[in-house]
Amino acid sequence: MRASPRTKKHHQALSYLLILPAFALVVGLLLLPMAQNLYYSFFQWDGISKEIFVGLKNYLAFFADPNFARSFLNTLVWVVATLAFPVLGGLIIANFLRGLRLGNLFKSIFFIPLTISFVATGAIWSNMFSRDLGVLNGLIALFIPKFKLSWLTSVPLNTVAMLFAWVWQQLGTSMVLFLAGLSTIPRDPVEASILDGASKWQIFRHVTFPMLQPVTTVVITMAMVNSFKTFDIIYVMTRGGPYRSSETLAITMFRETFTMFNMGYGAAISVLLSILVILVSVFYIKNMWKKDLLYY
Amino acid sequence: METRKNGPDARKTLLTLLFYVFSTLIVALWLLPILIAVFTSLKSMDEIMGSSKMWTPPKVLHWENFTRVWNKVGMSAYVLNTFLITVPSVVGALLVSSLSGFALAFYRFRLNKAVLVLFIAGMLIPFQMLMIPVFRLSDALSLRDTRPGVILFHIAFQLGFCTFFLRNFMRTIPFSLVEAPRIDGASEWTIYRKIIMPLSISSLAALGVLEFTWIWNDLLWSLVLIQSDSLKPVTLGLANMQGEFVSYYNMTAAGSIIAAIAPLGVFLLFQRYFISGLTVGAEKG
Repeated sequence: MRASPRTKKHHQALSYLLILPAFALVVGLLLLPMAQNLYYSFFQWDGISKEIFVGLKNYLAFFADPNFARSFLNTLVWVVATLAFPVLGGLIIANFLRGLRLGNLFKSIFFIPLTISFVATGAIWSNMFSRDLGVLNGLIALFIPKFKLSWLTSVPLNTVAMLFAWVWQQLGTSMVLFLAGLSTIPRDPVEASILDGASKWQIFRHVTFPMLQPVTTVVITMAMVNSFKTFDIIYVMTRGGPYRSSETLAITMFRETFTMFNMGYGAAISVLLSILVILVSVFYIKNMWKKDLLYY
Repeated sequence: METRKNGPDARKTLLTLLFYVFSTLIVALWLLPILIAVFTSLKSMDEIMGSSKMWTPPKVLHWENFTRVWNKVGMSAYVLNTFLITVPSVVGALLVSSLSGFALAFYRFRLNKAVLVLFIAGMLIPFQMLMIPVFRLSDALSLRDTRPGVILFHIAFQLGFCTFFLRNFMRTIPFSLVEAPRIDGASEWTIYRKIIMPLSISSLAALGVLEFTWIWNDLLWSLVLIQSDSLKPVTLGLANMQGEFVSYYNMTAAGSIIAAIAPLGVFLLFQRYFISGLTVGAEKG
């Protein structure tokens, strides 16, 4: 049965009404402020006195700012390390956990850190990496007597230490997503390859991995987006220090804005960060758009 | 014959053994930080300073570390604040997004896809892009340093994800379940309330568990919006404590455990929902 034009019109109006609260909140509290932020990035402004229009000066200042350069480099380290460890590690562990008798127990164990906040994770790992009473130095001292290393204040070890905490926290997500993906792969092609005498690696390389591709895209995109946004762990473990050595773009933006009151410059950094995030998610969004299954 | 058969067998046993050793090590590495945090939180500072072996269990259980963090450092107030922020935020986000998800799933209207893109943009773009304007806007609306302010921004920030999540689930509900009552003259409100909502309970639960964890664990919004100590959530309290009590390992460990206990409990109770919530997208994508 087809709805009459009147009810159709009625539905049209009703659907707008149902969307309205969400729409108003998203537009009013998120999208308009974002546009405003873009606008601020063209101004020099300390938050109190009147803003001065400076055009692209804030963006051009990136190239002359050694703090920015270091922060940018650190951000890239975080992104690459995220792809190398939580993502690849999650893939490997998911493949091993499958069909393992204690698989479910292990799955929960890898998942626990994910439910703990980054702040608690950071606090726990700060203790682990402490110079005098940290577990890590204590364990190493069993083999190398009197071993003392100040992990969180030496560069680049502080970033390595924070990445440990990060990997510990993040691995569960990619693992569980890969496990879900693996469970949807039909058995037939895998069994056929076993009959053909393919090795486990060959099966993974030529059967499982290609069929896992949609999940892999989701995991890689989300991991990259999240690593670009890294803030909490660094804020808790080093505050970007010592001497701004372990800052990433998200931390640099925060410091420039709220401690140094370079609001315009902070805004410009956040615009750059947003552009980077959009760039890494374009492929994924396009994929979703085609399938009309927008998600995440 | 025998040796040819034994060779690969022995190798296989060795490989299996290696595999189990390696996986035990990895699992231990994942549990170690939690175990040590628990041990440390129950030791006295004297015991901690006396030995570099942080991995040994406490000789005497010093529960007073917890009571001190809970009462004197003020963790009890921080936990209550988090609760008062998280629960209304989750309820609000689910309520508003169930309406928008319903509309996007069952009505064809112009701009349907445009609205989707708008929402996806709002949820992918980094928080940093919002910090300065939100700081000013919350001031202009007198929402800075108030609980309703944080709740409102939390809801807005989570709506994109929630709407997608629910819309995608609702799309799997057969359209006939909506159309048949419509023909029978049921109002749209009745369809939403009596048919779609009951059918969506499990996905609402999955979403609720995820959102609870995320909002509970949030640091950034409160960092930007809250100044008064009396309104601070547990993440902010712990971050400050980490600065103040940095050499009091037992206190910071106890604080971390207190901060982690609620989301951990929710996860353990609703593990099934949590995992299904996280994976729906990956399976479909």
